[in-house]
Amino acid sequence: MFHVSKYYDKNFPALRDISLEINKGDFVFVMGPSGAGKSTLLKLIFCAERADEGQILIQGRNIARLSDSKIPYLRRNLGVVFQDYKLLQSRTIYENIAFSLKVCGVSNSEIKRRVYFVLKQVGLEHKSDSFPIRLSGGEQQRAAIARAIVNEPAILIADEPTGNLDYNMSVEIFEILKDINVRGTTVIVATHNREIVSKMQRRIISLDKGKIVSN
Amino acid sequence: MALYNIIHFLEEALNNIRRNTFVAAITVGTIGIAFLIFSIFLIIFSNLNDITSTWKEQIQVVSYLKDGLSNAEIISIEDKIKSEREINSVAFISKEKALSEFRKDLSSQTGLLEGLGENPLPAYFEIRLKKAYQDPKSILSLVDRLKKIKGIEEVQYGQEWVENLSSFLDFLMIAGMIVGGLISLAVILIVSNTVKLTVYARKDDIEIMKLIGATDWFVKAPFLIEGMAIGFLGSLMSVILLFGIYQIIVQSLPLNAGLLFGRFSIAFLSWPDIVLLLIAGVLLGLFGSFVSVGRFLKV
Repeated sequence: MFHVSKYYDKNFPALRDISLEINKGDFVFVMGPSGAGKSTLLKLIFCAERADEGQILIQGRNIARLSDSKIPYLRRNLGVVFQDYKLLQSRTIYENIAFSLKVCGVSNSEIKRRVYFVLKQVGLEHKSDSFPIRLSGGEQQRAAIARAIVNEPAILIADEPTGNLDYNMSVEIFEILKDINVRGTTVIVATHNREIVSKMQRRIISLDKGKIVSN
Repeated sequence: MALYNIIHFLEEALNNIRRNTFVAAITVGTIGIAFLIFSIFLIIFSNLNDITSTWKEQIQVVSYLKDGLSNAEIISIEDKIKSEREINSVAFISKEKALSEFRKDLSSQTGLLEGLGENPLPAYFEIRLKKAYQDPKSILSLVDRLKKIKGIEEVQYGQEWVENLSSFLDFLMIAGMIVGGLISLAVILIVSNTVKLTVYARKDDIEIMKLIGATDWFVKAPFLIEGMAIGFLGSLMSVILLFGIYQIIVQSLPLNAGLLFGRFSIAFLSWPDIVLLLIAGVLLGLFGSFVSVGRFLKV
Protein backbone atom coordinates (compact mmCIF):
# COMPACT_ATOMS: atom_id res chain seq x y z
CA MET A 1 0.00 0.00 0.00
CA PHE A 2 1.29 3.43 -0.91
CA HIS A 3 -0.09 6.63 0.64
CA VAL A 4 -3.59 5.20 0.95
CA SER A 5 -6.36 7.35 2.43
CA LYS A 6 -10.05 6.67 2.89
CA TYR A 7 -12.65 9.25 3.87
CA TYR A 8 -16.17 8.47 5.04
CA ASP A 9 -16.30 12.06 6.29
CA LYS A 10 -14.23 14.81 4.65
CA ASN A 11 -12.87 16.10 7.98
CA PHE A 12 -12.21 12.75 9.67
CA PRO A 13 -10.40 10.26 7.43
CA ALA A 14 -10.87 6.60 8.35
CA LEU A 15 -7.34 5.98 7.02
CA ARG A 16 -4.71 8.62 6.49
CA ASP A 17 -1.68 8.22 4.24
CA ILE A 18 -1.11 4.52 4.96
CA SER A 19 1.99 2.95 3.42
CA LEU A 20 2.97 -0.60 4.20
CA GLU A 21 4.24 -3.76 2.57
CA ILE A 22 3.23 -7.35 3.34
CA ASN A 23 5.32 -10.11 1.84
CA LYS A 24 4.07 -13.37 0.38
CA GLY A 25 3.69 -15.96 3.14
CA ASP A 26 3.62 -13.41 5.99
CA PHE A 27 1.34 -13.66 9.01
CA VAL A 28 0.38 -10.14 10.07
CA PHE A 29 -1.83 -8.81 12.85
CA VAL A 30 -3.59 -5.47 12.47
CA MET A 31 -4.38 -4.05 15.89
CA GLY A 32 -5.77 -0.92 17.41
CA PRO A 33 -8.75 0.43 19.35
CA SER A 34 -12.27 0.47 17.92
CA GLY A 35 -12.57 3.02 15.13
CA ALA A 36 -8.80 2.96 14.45
CA GLY A 37 -9.42 1.87 10.85
CA LYS A 38 -8.57 -1.87 11.06
CA SER A 39 -11.71 -3.07 9.28
CA THR A 40 -11.47 -0.30 6.69
CA LEU A 41 -7.87 -1.33 5.94
CA LEU A 42 -8.96 -4.94 5.33
CA LYS A 43 -12.05 -3.90 3.34
CA LEU A 44 -9.82 -1.95 0.96
CA ILE A 45 -7.93 -5.17 0.19
CA PHE A 46 -11.05 -7.10 -0.86
CA CYS A 47 -12.66 -4.00 -2.39
CA ALA A 48 -15.67 -3.83 -0.05
CA GLU A 49 -14.50 -0.21 0.22
CA ARG A 50 -12.50 1.76 -2.33
CA ALA A 51 -9.49 3.92 -1.51
CA ASP A 52 -9.91 7.65 -2.11
CA GLU A 53 -6.18 8.20 -2.49
CA GLY A 54 -3.10 6.05 -3.02
CA GLN A 55 -2.33 2.67 -4.56
CA ILE A 56 -2.89 -0.87 -3.31
CA LEU A 57 -0.82 -3.45 -5.18
CA ILE A 58 -1.59 -7.16 -4.94
CA GLN A 59 0.81 -9.30 -6.93
CA GLY A 60 1.79 -6.19 -8.89
CA ARG A 61 -1.77 -5.12 -9.78
CA ASN A 62 -3.25 -1.85 -8.50
CA ILE A 63 -6.62 -2.83 -7.08
CA ALA A 64 -7.45 0.69 -5.89
CA ARG A 65 -8.52 1.47 -9.44
CA LEU A 66 -10.03 -1.93 -10.26
CA SER A 67 -13.31 -1.68 -12.21
CA ASP A 68 -16.44 -2.98 -10.43
CA SER A 69 -16.85 -5.80 -12.95
CA LYS A 70 -13.38 -7.18 -12.10
CA ILE A 71 -13.88 -7.21 -8.32
CA PRO A 72 -15.47 -10.72 -8.22
CA TYR A 73 -12.38 -12.19 -9.91
CA LEU A 74 -10.09 -10.52 -7.35
CA ARG A 75 -12.21 -11.88 -4.49
CA ARG A 76 -11.90 -15.44 -5.82
CA ASN A 77 -8.16 -15.17 -5.17
CA LEU A 78 -8.69 -13.91 -1.64
CA GLY A 79 -10.23 -15.70 1.31
CA VAL A 80 -12.17 -13.52 3.73
CA VAL A 81 -13.32 -14.43 7.24
CA PHE A 82 -15.71 -12.15 9.15
CA GLN A 83 -16.51 -11.67 12.82
CA ASP A 84 -20.16 -12.60 12.21
CA TYR A 85 -19.15 -15.59 10.00
CA LYS A 86 -21.46 -14.54 7.14
CA LEU A 87 -22.66 -18.06 6.38
CA LEU A 88 -25.76 -18.58 4.22
CA GLN A 89 -28.27 -19.63 6.86
CA SER A 90 -30.56 -21.54 4.53
CA ARG A 91 -27.74 -23.80 3.28
CA THR A 92 -25.81 -26.61 4.87
CA ILE A 93 -22.13 -26.24 5.74
CA TYR A 94 -21.27 -28.33 2.67
CA GLU A 95 -23.39 -26.07 0.42
CA ASN A 96 -21.88 -22.93 1.96
CA ILE A 97 -18.35 -24.05 1.16
CA ALA A 98 -19.30 -25.49 -2.22
CA PHE A 99 -20.79 -22.14 -3.25
CA SER A 100 -17.29 -20.58 -3.35
CA LEU A 101 -16.26 -23.20 -5.88
CA LYS A 102 -19.47 -23.06 -7.91
CA VAL A 103 -18.84 -19.36 -8.42
CA CYS A 104 -15.59 -20.32 -10.17
CA GLY A 105 -17.24 -23.00 -12.32
CA VAL A 106 -15.56 -25.99 -10.64
CA SER A 107 -17.10 -29.38 -11.52
CA ASN A 108 -19.32 -31.14 -8.97
CA SER A 109 -16.91 -34.06 -8.44
CA GLU A 110 -14.01 -31.65 -7.84
CA ILE A 111 -16.21 -29.58 -5.50
CA LYS A 112 -16.97 -32.69 -3.45
CA ARG A 113 -13.30 -33.64 -3.18
CA ARG A 114 -12.14 -30.17 -2.19
CA VAL A 115 -14.98 -29.42 0.26
CA TYR A 116 -14.33 -32.64 2.20
CA PHE A 117 -10.61 -31.88 2.20
CA VAL A 118 -11.06 -28.45 3.83
CA LEU A 119 -13.77 -29.71 6.19
CA LYS A 120 -11.23 -32.25 7.44
CA GLN A 121 -8.62 -29.52 7.74
CA VAL A 122 -10.87 -27.50 10.11
CA GLY A 123 -12.24 -30.60 11.87
CA LEU A 124 -15.84 -30.30 10.68
CA GLU A 125 -16.20 -33.31 8.38
CA HIS A 126 -19.00 -34.69 10.59
CA LYS A 127 -21.01 -31.44 10.31
CA SER A 128 -21.17 -31.14 6.54
CA ASP A 129 -24.96 -31.64 6.39
CA SER A 130 -25.73 -29.37 9.34
CA PHE A 131 -27.18 -25.92 8.95
CA PRO A 132 -25.16 -23.03 10.46
CA ILE A 133 -27.76 -22.39 13.17
CA ARG A 134 -27.10 -25.89 14.61
CA LEU A 135 -23.38 -25.15 15.05
CA SER A 136 -21.56 -23.40 17.92
CA GLY A 137 -19.86 -20.05 17.24
CA GLY A 138 -16.46 -21.73 17.02
CA GLU A 139 -17.76 -24.33 14.58
CA GLN A 140 -19.41 -21.66 12.44
CA GLN A 141 -16.16 -19.72 12.30
CA ARG A 142 -14.25 -22.88 11.32
CA ALA A 143 -16.80 -23.43 8.55
CA ALA A 144 -16.27 -19.83 7.42
CA ILE A 145 -12.51 -20.41 7.37
CA ALA A 146 -13.01 -23.61 5.36
CA ARG A 147 -15.06 -21.61 2.84
CA ALA A 148 -12.35 -18.93 2.69
CA ILE A 149 -9.53 -21.39 1.95
CA VAL A 150 -11.32 -23.89 -0.32
CA ASN A 151 -10.27 -21.87 -3.38
CA GLU A 152 -6.64 -22.02 -2.21
CA PRO A 153 -6.34 -18.22 -2.11
CA ALA A 154 -2.98 -16.44 -2.03
CA ILE A 155 -4.17 -14.20 0.80
CA LEU A 156 -6.49 -14.92 3.73
CA ILE A 157 -8.03 -11.87 5.38
CA ALA A 158 -9.73 -12.26 8.76
CA ASP A 159 -11.61 -9.36 10.35
CA GLU A 160 -11.99 -9.97 14.10
CA PRO A 161 -12.41 -13.71 13.55
CA THR A 162 -12.57 -14.41 17.29
CA GLY A 163 -14.61 -11.35 18.26
CA ASN A 164 -17.63 -13.48 19.18
CA LEU A 165 -15.73 -16.45 20.66
CA ASP A 166 -14.41 -17.41 24.09
CA TYR A 167 -10.69 -17.83 24.80
CA ASN A 168 -10.41 -21.57 24.09
CA MET A 169 -12.29 -21.34 20.83
CA SER A 170 -10.19 -18.31 19.87
CA VAL A 171 -6.98 -20.30 20.43
CA GLU A 172 -8.40 -23.05 18.23
CA ILE A 173 -9.18 -20.57 15.44
CA PHE A 174 -5.73 -19.00 15.57
CA GLU A 175 -4.15 -22.47 15.42
CA ILE A 176 -6.07 -23.15 12.21
CA LEU A 177 -4.98 -19.78 10.76
CA LYS A 178 -1.37 -20.61 11.71
CA ASP A 179 -1.66 -23.96 9.88
CA ILE A 180 -2.99 -22.23 6.78
CA ASN A 181 -0.09 -19.79 6.89
CA VAL A 182 2.41 -22.65 7.20
CA ARG A 183 1.03 -24.08 3.93
CA GLY A 184 2.09 -20.83 2.19
CA THR A 185 -0.97 -18.55 2.37
CA THR A 186 -0.40 -14.94 3.43
CA VAL A 187 -2.63 -14.26 6.46
CA ILE A 188 -3.77 -10.81 7.59
CA VAL A 189 -5.82 -10.70 10.81
CA ALA A 190 -7.46 -7.70 12.46
CA THR A 191 -8.02 -8.43 16.14
CA HIS A 192 -8.40 -7.04 19.64
CA ASN A 193 -7.12 -10.20 21.26
CA ARG A 194 -3.78 -9.00 22.78
CA GLU A 195 -3.23 -12.15 24.81
CA ILE A 196 -3.19 -14.50 21.85
CA VAL A 197 -1.34 -12.03 19.63
CA SER A 198 1.50 -11.68 22.11
CA LYS A 199 1.72 -15.48 22.43
CA MET A 200 1.98 -15.96 18.66
CA GLN A 201 4.92 -13.59 18.21
CA ARG A 202 4.11 -12.34 14.71
CA ARG A 203 4.40 -8.99 12.97
CA ILE A 204 1.91 -6.42 14.33
CA ILE A 205 0.68 -3.31 12.50
CA SER A 206 -0.90 -0.92 15.01
CA LEU A 207 -3.37 1.69 13.91
CA ASP A 208 -4.85 4.61 15.77
CA LYS A 209 -7.22 7.24 14.37
CA GLY A 210 -6.52 6.04 10.83
CA LYS A 211 -2.72 6.24 11.06
CA ILE A 212 -0.06 3.59 11.53
CA VAL A 213 1.47 4.07 14.97
CA SER A 214 3.79 1.06 14.91
CA ASN A 215 4.76 -1.58 12.37
CA MET B 1 -19.33 -23.06 -18.86
CA ALA B 2 -22.56 -21.51 -20.18
CA LEU B 3 -24.45 -24.81 -19.80
CA TYR B 4 -22.89 -25.33 -16.35
CA ASN B 5 -24.17 -21.90 -15.34
CA ILE B 6 -27.67 -22.44 -16.74
CA ILE B 7 -27.98 -25.74 -14.85
CA HIS B 8 -26.68 -24.04 -11.72
CA PHE B 9 -29.12 -21.13 -12.07
CA LEU B 10 -32.10 -23.45 -12.51
CA GLU B 11 -30.97 -25.60 -9.57
CA GLU B 12 -30.48 -22.53 -7.40
CA ALA B 13 -33.89 -21.07 -8.33
CA LEU B 14 -35.61 -24.39 -7.59
CA ASN B 15 -33.71 -24.84 -4.33
CA ASN B 16 -34.50 -21.27 -3.26
CA ILE B 17 -38.22 -21.95 -3.72
CA ARG B 18 -37.83 -25.26 -1.85
CA ARG B 19 -35.86 -23.65 0.99
CA ASN B 20 -38.40 -20.86 1.33
CA THR B 21 -41.57 -22.82 0.56
CA PHE B 22 -43.72 -20.85 2.98
CA VAL B 23 -42.66 -17.43 1.67
CA ALA B 24 -42.95 -18.68 -1.92
CA ALA B 25 -46.47 -20.01 -1.26
CA ILE B 26 -47.58 -16.72 0.30
CA THR B 27 -46.08 -14.79 -2.61
CA VAL B 28 -47.79 -17.02 -5.18
CA GLY B 29 -51.08 -16.62 -3.25
CA THR B 30 -50.80 -12.82 -3.12
CA ILE B 31 -49.96 -12.58 -6.80
CA GLY B 32 -52.77 -15.04 -7.56
CA ILE B 33 -55.36 -12.93 -5.73
CA ALA B 34 -54.13 -9.72 -7.38
CA PHE B 35 -54.37 -11.32 -10.82
CA LEU B 36 -57.75 -12.82 -9.93
CA ILE B 37 -59.17 -9.34 -9.31
CA PHE B 38 -57.76 -8.22 -12.64
CA SER B 39 -59.06 -11.25 -14.52
CA ILE B 40 -62.54 -10.87 -12.99
CA PHE B 41 -62.52 -7.34 -14.37
CA LEU B 42 -61.28 -8.68 -17.70
CA ILE B 43 -64.04 -11.31 -17.92
CA ILE B 44 -66.76 -8.77 -17.05
CA PHE B 45 -65.40 -6.23 -19.49
CA SER B 46 -64.97 -8.65 -22.39
CA ASN B 47 -68.48 -10.07 -21.85
CA LEU B 48 -69.97 -6.57 -21.77
CA ASN B 49 -68.10 -5.86 -24.98
CA ASP B 50 -69.59 -8.98 -26.56
CA ILE B 51 -73.08 -8.00 -25.46
CA THR B 52 -72.75 -4.47 -26.81
CA SER B 53 -71.44 -5.72 -30.14
CA THR B 54 -74.57 -7.88 -30.49
CA TRP B 55 -76.58 -4.74 -29.80
CA LYS B 56 -74.59 -2.93 -32.45
CA GLU B 57 -75.29 -5.71 -34.93
CA GLN B 58 -78.99 -4.97 -34.55
CA ILE B 59 -78.53 -1.49 -35.95
CA GLN B 60 -80.19 -1.34 -39.37
CA VAL B 61 -81.03 1.30 -41.92
CA VAL B 62 -84.35 1.03 -43.78
CA SER B 63 -84.72 2.71 -47.19
CA TYR B 64 -88.36 3.04 -48.31
CA LEU B 65 -88.96 3.06 -52.07
CA LYS B 66 -91.34 5.16 -54.08
CA ASP B 67 -94.37 3.33 -55.46
CA GLY B 68 -94.50 2.18 -59.05
CA LEU B 69 -90.82 1.42 -59.67
CA SER B 70 -89.99 -1.20 -62.28
CA ASN B 71 -87.92 -4.29 -61.44
CA ALA B 72 -84.99 -2.86 -63.39
CA GLU B 73 -85.14 0.34 -61.36
CA ILE B 74 -85.27 -1.61 -58.07
CA ILE B 75 -82.25 -3.70 -59.11
CA SER B 76 -80.36 -0.55 -60.03
CA ILE B 77 -81.15 0.99 -56.61
CA GLU B 78 -79.98 -2.20 -54.89
CA ASP B 79 -76.71 -2.07 -56.85
CA LYS B 80 -76.18 1.54 -55.86
CA ILE B 81 -76.80 0.71 -52.19
CA LYS B 82 -74.44 -2.27 -52.36
CA SER B 83 -71.70 -0.11 -53.83
CA GLU B 84 -71.45 1.91 -50.58
CA ARG B 85 -68.47 0.81 -48.47
CA GLU B 86 -70.43 0.64 -45.17
CA ILE B 87 -72.82 -2.04 -46.36
CA ASN B 88 -72.66 -5.56 -44.93
CA SER B 89 -75.93 -6.94 -46.32
CA VAL B 90 -79.03 -5.73 -48.13
CA ALA B 91 -82.46 -7.43 -48.15
CA PHE B 92 -85.33 -6.37 -50.41
CA ILE B 93 -88.84 -6.46 -48.95
CA SER B 94 -91.57 -6.07 -51.58
CA LYS B 95 -94.88 -4.30 -50.99
CA GLU B 96 -96.65 -7.67 -50.76
CA LYS B 97 -94.16 -9.09 -48.28
CA ALA B 98 -94.38 -5.89 -46.21
CA LEU B 99 -98.15 -6.29 -46.02
CA SER B 100 -98.03 -9.96 -45.12
CA GLU B 101 -95.50 -9.22 -42.36
CA PHE B 102 -97.73 -6.42 -41.15
CA ARG B 103 -100.69 -8.79 -41.09
CA LYS B 104 -98.60 -11.31 -39.12
CA ASP B 105 -97.60 -8.66 -36.58
CA LEU B 106 -101.22 -7.55 -36.11
CA SER B 107 -102.76 -11.02 -36.30
CA SER B 108 -104.83 -10.42 -33.15
CA GLN B 109 -106.36 -7.27 -34.54
CA THR B 110 -107.20 -8.37 -38.10
CA GLY B 111 -110.24 -6.11 -38.05
CA LEU B 112 -107.98 -3.09 -38.37
CA LEU B 113 -106.80 -4.24 -41.81
CA GLU B 114 -110.25 -4.91 -43.23
CA GLY B 115 -110.83 -1.30 -44.22
CA LEU B 116 -107.70 -1.18 -46.34
CA GLY B 117 -108.32 -1.20 -50.07
CA GLU B 118 -105.07 -0.91 -51.96
CA ASN B 119 -101.83 -1.99 -50.24
CA PRO B 120 -100.58 1.27 -48.66
CA LEU B 121 -97.21 -0.09 -47.52
CA PRO B 122 -94.07 0.80 -49.50
CA ALA B 123 -91.42 -1.69 -50.60
CA TYR B 124 -88.09 -1.21 -48.78
CA PHE B 125 -84.49 -2.30 -48.41
CA GLU B 126 -83.25 -3.55 -44.99
CA ILE B 127 -79.59 -2.60 -44.77
CA ARG B 128 -77.13 -3.97 -42.22
CA LEU B 129 -73.78 -2.26 -41.65
CA LYS B 130 -70.24 -3.50 -41.29
CA LYS B 131 -68.86 -3.47 -37.70
CA ALA B 132 -66.52 -0.54 -38.30
CA TYR B 133 -69.37 1.72 -39.42
CA GLN B 134 -71.88 1.06 -36.64
CA ASP B 135 -71.55 4.55 -35.13
CA PRO B 136 -73.81 7.63 -35.48
CA LYS B 137 -71.37 9.63 -37.65
CA SER B 138 -70.91 6.91 -40.27
CA ILE B 139 -74.64 6.11 -40.26
CA LEU B 140 -75.58 9.79 -40.80
CA SER B 141 -73.18 10.13 -43.71
CA LEU B 142 -74.54 6.92 -45.30
CA VAL B 143 -78.13 8.06 -44.79
CA ASP B 144 -77.33 11.35 -46.56
CA ARG B 145 -75.97 9.45 -49.57
CA LEU B 146 -78.89 6.99 -49.61
CA LYS B 147 -81.41 9.84 -49.63
CA LYS B 148 -79.85 11.14 -52.85
CA ILE B 149 -80.46 7.88 -54.72
CA LYS B 150 -83.32 8.33 -57.17
CA GLY B 151 -86.31 6.17 -56.25
CA ILE B 152 -85.71 6.19 -52.48
CA GLU B 153 -88.44 8.12 -50.72
CA GLU B 154 -87.36 8.00 -47.09
CA VAL B 155 -84.55 6.57 -44.95
CA GLN B 156 -85.00 5.55 -41.30
CA TYR B 157 -82.41 4.28 -38.88
CA GLY B 158 -83.70 4.65 -35.30
CA GLN B 159 -81.72 7.81 -34.62
CA GLU B 160 -82.43 8.00 -30.89
CA TRP B 161 -81.51 4.36 -30.24
CA VAL B 162 -78.24 4.67 -32.18
CA GLU B 163 -77.25 7.83 -30.34
CA ASN B 164 -78.11 6.42 -26.91
CA LEU B 165 -76.27 3.20 -27.62
CA SER B 166 -73.29 5.12 -28.89
CA SER B 167 -73.01 7.36 -25.82
CA PHE B 168 -73.51 4.32 -23.55
CA LEU B 169 -70.69 2.50 -25.35
CA ASP B 170 -68.43 5.57 -25.05
CA PHE B 171 -69.16 5.70 -21.32
CA LEU B 172 -68.50 1.97 -20.99
CA MET B 173 -65.18 2.26 -22.80
CA ILE B 174 -63.97 5.21 -20.67
CA ALA B 175 -65.14 3.62 -17.42
CA GLY B 176 -63.50 0.35 -18.47
CA MET B 177 -60.25 2.07 -19.26
CA ILE B 178 -60.19 3.93 -15.93
CA VAL B 179 -61.13 0.91 -13.81
CA GLY B 180 -58.89 -1.40 -15.86
CA GLY B 181 -56.01 1.06 -15.65
CA LEU B 182 -56.34 1.40 -11.88
CA ILE B 183 -56.59 -2.37 -11.37
CA SER B 184 -53.59 -2.94 -13.67
CA LEU B 185 -51.58 -0.39 -11.72
CA ALA B 186 -52.54 -2.06 -8.44
CA VAL B 187 -51.58 -5.49 -9.82
CA ILE B 188 -48.22 -4.20 -11.08
CA LEU B 189 -47.44 -2.64 -7.69
CA ILE B 190 -48.64 -5.65 -5.67
CA VAL B 191 -46.81 -8.24 -7.77
CA SER B 192 -43.53 -6.40 -8.13
CA ASN B 193 -43.48 -5.36 -4.45
CA THR B 194 -44.34 -8.86 -3.21
CA VAL B 195 -41.47 -10.27 -5.26
CA LYS B 196 -39.26 -7.46 -3.93
CA LEU B 197 -40.06 -8.49 -0.36
CA THR B 198 -38.91 -12.05 -1.00
CA VAL B 199 -35.64 -10.69 -2.37
CA TYR B 200 -35.33 -8.23 0.53
CA ALA B 201 -35.62 -11.12 2.99
CA ARG B 202 -32.46 -12.55 1.43
CA LYS B 203 -30.41 -9.37 1.05
CA ASP B 204 -27.79 -10.75 3.46
CA ASP B 205 -27.38 -13.80 1.22
CA ILE B 206 -26.80 -11.52 -1.76
CA GLU B 207 -24.11 -9.62 0.16
CA ILE B 208 -22.38 -12.86 1.21
CA MET B 209 -22.43 -14.23 -2.36
CA LYS B 210 -20.86 -11.04 -3.64
CA LEU B 211 -18.15 -11.13 -0.96
CA ILE B 212 -17.28 -14.70 -1.93
CA GLY B 213 -16.60 -13.58 -5.50
CA ALA B 214 -19.88 -14.17 -7.32
CA THR B 215 -20.46 -11.88 -10.31
CA ASP B 216 -23.64 -9.80 -10.40
CA TRP B 217 -25.19 -12.15 -12.95
CA PHE B 218 -24.30 -15.25 -10.96
CA VAL B 219 -26.26 -13.81 -8.02
CA LYS B 220 -29.02 -12.24 -10.06
CA ALA B 221 -29.95 -15.01 -12.51
CA PRO B 222 -31.48 -17.47 -9.99
CA PHE B 223 -33.52 -14.63 -8.46
CA LEU B 224 -34.82 -13.67 -11.90
CA ILE B 225 -35.78 -17.27 -12.70
CA GLU B 226 -37.43 -17.55 -9.29
CA GLY B 227 -39.32 -14.28 -9.86
CA MET B 228 -40.56 -15.50 -13.23
CA ALA B 229 -41.59 -18.88 -11.79
CA ILE B 230 -43.47 -17.27 -8.90
CA GLY B 231 -45.15 -14.76 -11.23
CA PHE B 232 -46.17 -17.59 -13.55
CA LEU B 233 -47.53 -19.75 -10.72
CA GLY B 234 -49.44 -16.76 -9.30
CA SER B 235 -51.10 -15.91 -12.59
CA LEU B 236 -51.80 -19.60 -13.28
CA MET B 237 -53.45 -19.84 -9.87
CA SER B 238 -55.65 -16.86 -10.72
CA VAL B 239 -56.79 -18.50 -13.98
CA ILE B 240 -57.64 -21.75 -12.13
CA LEU B 241 -59.51 -19.87 -9.38
CA LEU B 242 -61.31 -17.78 -11.96
CA PHE B 243 -62.38 -20.91 -13.83
CA GLY B 244 -63.76 -22.36 -10.59
CA ILE B 245 -65.70 -19.18 -9.82
CA TYR B 246 -66.90 -19.04 -13.44
CA GLN B 247 -68.23 -22.61 -13.27
CA ILE B 248 -70.09 -21.89 -10.01
CA ILE B 249 -71.66 -18.71 -11.40
CA VAL B 250 -72.60 -20.22 -14.77
CA GLN B 251 -74.24 -23.23 -13.13
CA SER B 252 -76.17 -21.13 -10.65
CA LEU B 253 -77.50 -18.69 -13.28
CA PRO B 254 -81.19 -19.23 -14.12
CA LEU B 255 -81.65 -20.27 -17.75
CA ASN B 256 -83.63 -17.17 -18.66
CA ALA B 257 -80.93 -14.81 -17.34
CA GLY B 258 -79.50 -14.85 -20.83
CA LEU B 259 -82.61 -13.16 -22.15
CA LEU B 260 -81.85 -10.17 -19.97
CA PHE B 261 -78.53 -9.67 -21.72
CA GLY B 262 -79.70 -10.69 -25.15
CA ARG B 263 -77.44 -13.75 -25.16
CA PHE B 264 -77.40 -17.14 -23.52
CA SER B 265 -73.98 -17.61 -22.01
CA ILE B 266 -71.21 -15.77 -20.18
CA ALA B 267 -67.96 -16.48 -22.00
CA PHE B 268 -64.76 -17.45 -20.11
CA LEU B 269 -61.53 -15.65 -20.94
CA SER B 270 -60.31 -16.35 -24.47
CA TRP B 271 -57.07 -18.34 -24.96
CA PRO B 272 -55.12 -15.24 -26.04
CA ASP B 273 -56.31 -13.46 -22.85
CA ILE B 274 -55.18 -16.41 -20.70
CA VAL B 275 -51.78 -16.54 -22.43
CA LEU B 276 -51.39 -12.76 -21.99
CA LEU B 277 -52.27 -13.07 -18.30
CA LEU B 278 -49.61 -15.76 -17.80
CA ILE B 279 -47.02 -13.73 -19.71
CA ALA B 280 -47.91 -10.67 -17.59
CA GLY B 281 -47.30 -12.78 -14.45
CA VAL B 282 -43.90 -13.92 -15.72
CA LEU B 283 -42.86 -10.40 -16.76
CA LEU B 284 -43.99 -8.75 -13.51
CA GLY B 285 -42.14 -11.40 -11.46
CA LEU B 286 -39.05 -10.80 -13.57
CA PHE B 287 -39.37 -7.02 -13.21
CA GLY B 288 -39.83 -7.19 -9.43
CA SER B 289 -36.77 -9.42 -9.02
CA PHE B 290 -34.64 -7.42 -11.41
CA VAL B 291 -35.27 -4.11 -9.67
CA SER B 292 -34.85 -5.39 -6.13
CA VAL B 293 -31.80 -7.63 -6.59
CA GLY B 294 -30.02 -4.80 -8.38
CA ARG B 295 -30.39 -2.66 -5.29
CA PHE B 296 -28.46 -5.09 -3.08
CA LEU B 297 -25.65 -5.94 -5.49
CA LYS B 298 -23.43 -3.00 -4.65
CA VAL B 299 -21.12 -4.79 -2.21
